[in-house]
Amino acid sequence: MQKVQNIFISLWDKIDNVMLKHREMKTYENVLTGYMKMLPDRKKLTKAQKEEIQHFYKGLIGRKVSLYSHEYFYSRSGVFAKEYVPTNLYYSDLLPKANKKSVQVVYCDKNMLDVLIPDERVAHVFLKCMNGFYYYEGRSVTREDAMSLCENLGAVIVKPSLASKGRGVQKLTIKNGKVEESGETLDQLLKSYGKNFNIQECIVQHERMAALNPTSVNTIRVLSYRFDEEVVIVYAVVRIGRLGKIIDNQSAGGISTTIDAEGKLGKYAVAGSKINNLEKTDTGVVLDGYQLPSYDKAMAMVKRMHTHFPYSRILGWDIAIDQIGDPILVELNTRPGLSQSAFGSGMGEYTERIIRDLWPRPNTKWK
Amino acid sequence: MIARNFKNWFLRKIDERKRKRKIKGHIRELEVHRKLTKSQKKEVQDFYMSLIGKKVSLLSHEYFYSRTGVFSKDYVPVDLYYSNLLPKANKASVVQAYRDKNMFDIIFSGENLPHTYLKNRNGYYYFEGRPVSESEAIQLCQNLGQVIIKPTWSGKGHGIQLVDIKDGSVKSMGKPLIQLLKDYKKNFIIQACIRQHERMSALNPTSVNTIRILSYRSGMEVLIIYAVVRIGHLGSVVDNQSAGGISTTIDKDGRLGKYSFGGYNKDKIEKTDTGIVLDGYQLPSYDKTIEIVKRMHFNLPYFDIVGWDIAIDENGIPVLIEFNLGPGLSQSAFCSGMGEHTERIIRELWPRQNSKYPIR
Repeated sequence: MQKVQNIFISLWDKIDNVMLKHREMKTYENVLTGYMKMLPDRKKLTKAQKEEIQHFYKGLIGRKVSLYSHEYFYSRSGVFAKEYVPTNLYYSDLLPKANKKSVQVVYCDKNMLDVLIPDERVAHVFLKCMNGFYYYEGRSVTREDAMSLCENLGAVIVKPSLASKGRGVQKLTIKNGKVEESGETLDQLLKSYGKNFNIQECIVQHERMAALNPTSVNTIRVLSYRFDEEVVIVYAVVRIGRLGKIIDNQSAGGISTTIDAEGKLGKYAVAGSKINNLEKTDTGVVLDGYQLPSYDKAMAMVKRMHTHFPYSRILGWDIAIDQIGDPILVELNTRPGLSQSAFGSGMGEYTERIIRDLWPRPNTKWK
Repeated sequence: MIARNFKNWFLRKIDERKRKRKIKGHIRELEVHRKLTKSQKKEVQDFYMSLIGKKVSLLSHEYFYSRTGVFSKDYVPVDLYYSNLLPKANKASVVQAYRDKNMFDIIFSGENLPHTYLKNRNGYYYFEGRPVSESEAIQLCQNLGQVIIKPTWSGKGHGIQLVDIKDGSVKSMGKPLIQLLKDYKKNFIIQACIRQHERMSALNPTSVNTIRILSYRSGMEVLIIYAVVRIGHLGSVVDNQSAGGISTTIDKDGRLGKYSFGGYNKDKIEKTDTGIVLDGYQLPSYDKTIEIVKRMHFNLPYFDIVGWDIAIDENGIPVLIEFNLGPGLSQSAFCSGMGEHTERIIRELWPRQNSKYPIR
C-alpha cells in the first residue's frame, strides 16, 4: 500500500511538473509574440539564419529551440545573432539551474539585503516590515513605536520588499506623522503597504548620473555570473527614468543603454517593448560616449558581493552612484532579465560558456 | 485550482497517516500500555471539538498517557502538530533557507554564537566570513586544534564530529584534512568547541549538554512553551535524543525535574550516566537564557514556533548552538502538549492558512 502510494505521488508530481513547466514556457513565448505584433517593422529570419541558430543550440543543449526570441530581438535591434537566448529557455531552464530555488526567497527579500552583506554599502533602511512585524534600524519594535519613530523622517522612499519591477515604489516626505504629498496619515500609509515593505533613505546621486534624469535615481544594472573559480560581468546597462518619474524601471517607461568596458554609454537607448534607437535622454543629454562616474568601482563591488551568495550563479544588481562617487547597492534581483534588446545578444561573449556550464546541473524548480 | 487543492489535501492526509503509523509503532514497543477510558476520550474530543471544530486521532494521547502515567487532554496529536499547526505557524517556503546552519551567524550577528572558522556553502569556502579557495582553506585550517565539524542542512545531530586538526591532518582518524573536507562534500561548517559551564558538564562531560527551549511568538510577545535539558549518553559527542540522549524538564527557576526520558521507550531515569541525581539540580544562567531566546525570536519574523538549543559556556554566558524550525514537543518529558499555552496557541494558529499544504 505504502509503495503504491509513493509511486502514485511521484508520478503525479512528474506529470504536474511537466505540465506546469510547459505552460510556463508557453506563457513566456506568448508575451514576446504579443510584443512582436506591436513592432512597427518585423524582420523574418532567413533559412540559413534559422539553421545557424538550431545548429548552435543542438551543439549546446542537444535539442532545437523555438525561434520567436531571435525573431523578436532581431526585429527590434536590427542585429542578428545566434547568441540570443529564448526567454522561456532562460526563465524555465537556465535560471532554476543556476539559482537554487528553495533559498532564493531570502535573497530577493529587500529587507534582508543589509543583513546578508553587512560590510557593503547598501541603501540605508529606516523601517522594515517583515511578515507584519516592524523593525526600526534593525531593532524589533511595536507598530505604535514604529509610527512615533518615523514621524519626522523627511524625504524617504517607500517600497514593497517582495515585489519587483519598481511596483509600489514611492518617494514621500513624512512630517509630523503625515505624508505631505497625499495628506494621508502615516498609519494609513503603513496599512496600505501591507505586511512586507520598507522605508529607506533617498539616495542623493552623483551629478553626472542626475544629469541623465534628475527626478529618478538612475542605476547601473549589472548582470553577473559566478563560475566555480571567478565572477564575470555578463552585461551592464544604465537605466534612465523618464522626466518626472521617480523609478527607472523599464516597465515604467525607463530607457536603457549599454555601457562599454570603460564605463562609456552606447549610441542608442531602448525603452519598453517597442521604442528603439533613442539618441538623447529626456533632459537632452547625448548618450553616445557619455562617461559614467566610478564605473570600475561599481564593477569591483558587484564581483565582491556576488561571492556572498553561494546558492546563486546568476544575479542582477542595481547600483546607484552617490555624490562623492561611491557605489551604493539599491536592489538585488535573483530573477534578472537579460536586456537582450539593448545588448543585441543573449549573454554576450559568455553565452556559450554559461549554457555549457549550466546545462548538466539539476533544475531546482521543475524537478 | 481544484486539482491543486485536492493534491494538497491528499498530500496532507498522507503526511498525517505516516505520523499516526509511527506512533502506532511506538505504542507496540511500550512495556506498559494504558488504554483511555470512555470519559477520558470524551474529554479530549470535547476539548478539540471546541478548539478546531473536529475530532482528532487519540493515538498520541494513548501513547503519552502510557509512557508518563499522567493523563491530560492537553497532549497534542503529533499528526495535528506536524501537518497542521507547524505549517500554519512557520512559513514553509522560507524554512529551507533559514535551516542552513551557515546562515546562523548572519541572521544573529551580534549575538553569542560559537566562533566559526570555516564554512562550505554550496561548494564555496569562506574562512571567517571571507571567501577563499579550497587550497587556501586547507592552508588556513591546518592547525585549528579541537573543533566541531557538522553538515549544515541535516538535523538530529547527524554527522557531527569532534575532530583534532594538527599539521594538516585529522589526529583521531589519521587522515589528511583534505579528505575530511571531501567526505563532508558541499555544505558544512567548522566551529570552535564550546567549553561548557562546570555544572553543565557535570551532567555528562563528553557532550555539550544544551538547554532546549521552545518559544512561540504572538505579536510582540514571546511565550516559552517548554524548556528541557538534553543530556548526552556517556561517550557520545551529541546530546540528541536519537543518539541516546536523555531529556529532563526544567522549572521556572532553572531546576531540573524528577525524571528523565530517553528514546521512545526508556522512562523514568533518575540519575545521569555520571551518577548525578536530577531532581532539583540547579542549572546556571537559566534566566539569562530565557531572556536571550526572547530577544532572538524577534529576528525570525516568518516563524512563530522555534526550538532553540542553548549551551552555557564556562563564564555562564548562554551560547546559541542551533535553532530548529520544525521542533518536536517533548510531550513525554513534559506530560502535556504545549503546557498552559496549549489552548491559546491552537486557537491563534487554527484560522491561518497552512503554508505547506495550502487550500484556496
